[in-house]
Amino acid sequence: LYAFARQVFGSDRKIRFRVDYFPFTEPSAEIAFDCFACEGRDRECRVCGGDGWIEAAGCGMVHPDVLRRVGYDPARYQGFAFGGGIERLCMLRTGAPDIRLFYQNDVRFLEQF
Amino acid sequence: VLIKVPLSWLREYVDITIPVEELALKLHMSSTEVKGIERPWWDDKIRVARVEKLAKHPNADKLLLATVDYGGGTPKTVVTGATNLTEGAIVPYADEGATIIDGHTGERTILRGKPMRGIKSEGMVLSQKELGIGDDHEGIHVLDPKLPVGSLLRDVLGETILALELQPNRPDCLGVVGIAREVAALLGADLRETAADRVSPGAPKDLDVRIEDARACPRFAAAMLTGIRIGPSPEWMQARLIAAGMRPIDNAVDITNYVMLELGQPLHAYDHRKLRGGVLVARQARRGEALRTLDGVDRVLPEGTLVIADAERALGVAGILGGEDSEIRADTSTVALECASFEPRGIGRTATKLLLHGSSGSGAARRFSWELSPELVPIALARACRLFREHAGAKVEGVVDRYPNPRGRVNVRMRFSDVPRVMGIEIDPAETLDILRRLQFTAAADGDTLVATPPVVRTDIAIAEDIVEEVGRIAGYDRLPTRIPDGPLPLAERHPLEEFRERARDGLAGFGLQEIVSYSLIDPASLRQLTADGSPLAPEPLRVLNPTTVAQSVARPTLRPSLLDTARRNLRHRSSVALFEIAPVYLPRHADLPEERWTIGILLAGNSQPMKDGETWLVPERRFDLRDLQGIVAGLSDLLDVPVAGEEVAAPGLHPGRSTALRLGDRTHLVVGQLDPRLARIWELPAETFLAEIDVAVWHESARPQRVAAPPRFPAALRDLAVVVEEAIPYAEVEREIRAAAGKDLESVALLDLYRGRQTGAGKKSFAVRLVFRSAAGTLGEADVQRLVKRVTRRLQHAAGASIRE
Repeated sequence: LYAFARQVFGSDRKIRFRVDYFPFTEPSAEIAFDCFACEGRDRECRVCGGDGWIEAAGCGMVHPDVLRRVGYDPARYQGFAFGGGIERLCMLRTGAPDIRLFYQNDVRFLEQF
Repeated sequence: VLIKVPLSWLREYVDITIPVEELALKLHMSSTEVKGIERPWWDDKIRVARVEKLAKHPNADKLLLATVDYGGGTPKTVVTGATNLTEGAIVPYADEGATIIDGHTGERTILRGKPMRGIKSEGMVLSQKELGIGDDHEGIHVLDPKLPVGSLLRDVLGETILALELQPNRPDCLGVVGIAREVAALLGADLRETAADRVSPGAPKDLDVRIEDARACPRFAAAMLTGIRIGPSPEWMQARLIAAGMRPIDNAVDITNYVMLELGQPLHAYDHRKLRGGVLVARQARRGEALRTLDGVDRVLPEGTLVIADAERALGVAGILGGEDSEIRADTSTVALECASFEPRGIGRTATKLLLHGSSGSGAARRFSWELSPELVPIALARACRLFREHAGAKVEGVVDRYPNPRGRVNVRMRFSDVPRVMGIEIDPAETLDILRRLQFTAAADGDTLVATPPVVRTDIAIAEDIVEEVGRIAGYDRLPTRIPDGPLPLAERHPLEEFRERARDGLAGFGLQEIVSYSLIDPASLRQLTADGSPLAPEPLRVLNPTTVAQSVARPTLRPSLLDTARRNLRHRSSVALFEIAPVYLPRHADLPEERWTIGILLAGNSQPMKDGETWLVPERRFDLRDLQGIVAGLSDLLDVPVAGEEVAAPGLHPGRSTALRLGDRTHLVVGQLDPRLARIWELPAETFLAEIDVAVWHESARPQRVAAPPRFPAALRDLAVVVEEAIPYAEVEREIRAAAGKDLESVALLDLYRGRQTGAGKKSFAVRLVFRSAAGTLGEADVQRLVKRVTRRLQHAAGASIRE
C-alpha cells in the first residue's frame, strides 16, 4: 500500500494506518496518505479538509470465517485484503471535481483520459 | 452513530493527564473516530455576575432595571424583560462588545449597548439560548449560587465536547463510561466505578415482568420506585444532557436519558398507575393492535413488532418508542422503570417500518439495533435507581430481573505468538497481558497459551483475531513496519478471458473509439424499445427486489439500451459518437445463478470526421456508414486472431437489409448492422446509426493460438486470371473454389478488379484475381505452377461454370 501510494500520488508520500472496522477483515485498518496538495500545512486545505491526511482505502487481515467459507483452512493460511473507491482515487489524482462525472459517460469528460 | 461526550463527564470516570488534542488523536487512531472537538467560545466579556438590585423601569411596565456586579469595578445597569430574576441571583453577564447568540436569529452577534425606553442597557444578562447551550429564551439562565462572581463563564461553565463516530461492532462505546474504558486503556489509567445502588433482586409487590418471546427479548428487568416528586433535574445534569445534544424534560425522563448517555443502555419509565395488572410483558403485537406513541402519532403496529404491554394492552414499542398513555406526568409518584435487552435485527426492522430509524429517529432504537450486552441491564438499572433516589426522592421498592437463558462468557484460547503472526508487530507476552488488563480483560497465561476473557459489556470479541486486534490497536498501528512481502514470487498470470477482453479494449480504443462504462441496472421500459413492434430482444431480465429507482430496477440482458442512451445524450452537444463498451449482460437461468455473458457493444453515428470545435472546410463531411462498422469488426477479429464464421441468422432490431448476425451452436456471437430507422426515431438518433455486438466467450473459444513461422526462403510465383461467371455467383464462392483446388502451395488470393461489359456477355461478370504460389520445400518451377493453375481453372469451370482467361 505504501508502494501504491507513492506510485499514484508521488514518491515522497507517507501513509498512516488507523484502526477501523469491517466485517470481513480482522484486524482492520483505514489507510490515509499525507496530503499531496498541502502536505499538512494548510488548515483550510480543500483536498484533505485541513487535517493533513486523505483517507483513501480500507484494509485488513482476511477474517478467518471468510477464508473458511471459500475453502481455506485459517490455521494454515492468512492473507490481507485492501480496497478503495476507484472514483475517489481518480478524483484525487486528476482533480475531477464531481463523482457523478464518472457515471454520465459524457464523451467530453471521457476523452480527457 | 455520532455521540457527543463532554470532557467533564469523561473525567468523572478517568483521569486525563494529556491535552485534549492529544487524547483525541489517540482515540482516533485506536478506533474511536473523532469528528471534532467543540470548545466553549465565550469570550472574556462574558462573566459570572450577581444581581445586586432590581427596580422597575420608569418608562415601561414589562421591563426591569437590574444592577449587576460582575467583578469589574462599577456595577452595571441592564434592562431586561425576564421575569425570573431575584436580587442576589447569580447570572451570566455579557458586557458590551461580547459575542453572544442572537435570541431571535440564532446567529452569533456582537453585543451593542443601546437605550431601551430611554435608559441605556450597559450589557446583558443571558438566557440559555443566548449562551448557545439550550432552547430556552424566556428566562435568564440562573447559575449555581456558589459560582465566584467575576470569573470567566467559560472557565466555570464551559464544556469541551468530543464528537465521536462509532462503528457498529462497538456498542460498549455508546456510553461515556465505554469511552472512559478506552481512554483508561490508552493512558494506562484507572477506570472509576459508576456510583450505583446495590439492588438486591427481590420481586417488588405490585410489579412483575414477563417475557413471552425470549428470542426477541432475552432479558427484561424493572424496578419499582415510589414516592417520586417530578420536577426539573439538577442543573449539572441538564447541562450535560444539553452538551450531549439532548433536551432536558423532567427529572424522571432526564435520569433515564442520562443513564443511556452514560452507559449506552436505554431505559423507559412508566407511570405505574397506568399499568393494568401491575405487570410488564414483552410480547409480539397482536394483529391490528394500535397504540398512540409519545410523539402523539396513532400507529397500527406492523406484524413482527415486539411490544411492551401490561396485562391488557400494548404500552409501547419495545426498545423504540414509549406510549403516550403511560408516560410520566407532573403528578406521577410511582414509576415502573424498564431496563431490557432486545434482539438487534428485530429492533432495526421495526424502526425502519415505523420510520424511526437513522439519526433523526429514536435514540433508543439506534442503540438497541446494535448488540448491547445483556449484562448492561442490571448495571444500568442500579445506576438509575441511585439517581432516582438522589434526584427524584424515590424509594426503591424492589427489582425484578428475568434472564431465562443467560449467555455464557466468552473465553478465547490462543497463542501469544498469534499476536506478532497476524499483526506483524513484535509484541511480547508481557505487553500483551498488560494491554489486555488495561482493557479490563481477564487474561491467564500458561507458556505460549493465552486465555482471554473480555469485560462483560464487550459483545464484539469471539476469536483469537479479535484479541490480536485489541492488543495491536492499543499498542498502536504506528508500530507497523513497512516492508515488501518476501518469499518466492507468485507467477503473475492474468485470467485468459480478462486478457482477451483487455486486447479487445486496447484495439477498439486504438481504432479511435471511446470506451464507456454504463450502469448494469437499467430501466425495464427501455427493453421494449429495441424492436419496432416492442417484442423482446433478450430474455426477461432479472429484477432488483428493492430498487432505489425504476430507472435502475433490472439487470441488463443486453448492452443495447445503454449504448443508445449514451449516444442520444452525447449527440445533444456533438456531431458524432463512436462508442464501445465491454461488460457482462445478465441472463437468467432456471434454478441457477444467472449467466454473466461478457459482451462487446459498438455504436457509430454521425460525422466520421468530427472537429473538436465544430466543422471546418479543411475536412469534408463524411457520415459513418456500414462499412466503417464492418471495418472495425474485421479489424478487431484480425487483431484477436478470430476467424469470423457461423450460420447467418436474422438480427432483430436492426435494418433487415443492412444487417447480419452469425450463430455458432446456440450462441449468436456477432451482430452487425444499421439500427432499424424506426427505432432511431424513438431514441432520437440519426437514421444512420450503426451497432455491433460480440459475444466475447465465443470469440475467445474460436481464437487461434498465436503461432509464428520464419519468413519464406523460396521465391513466389504470381499468376493473374480473369474468371467470368454468372452474375449470381458471389466472389466468396470463387475464392473458396480456388483455395480448395490449389491446396497448400497457394499463399494468397486477391481480387484485383470486377468487370461487366461487352467482353463478358449479358448476365455475366468477370473477376480479375491474382494468385500467389509458394512452396515451403523449394522453388516452384514453371511446370509446377502450370499444373496448379490448371487444377484451379478446371475446378472453376466445373464447380462454378466459369470460363477462364489467363
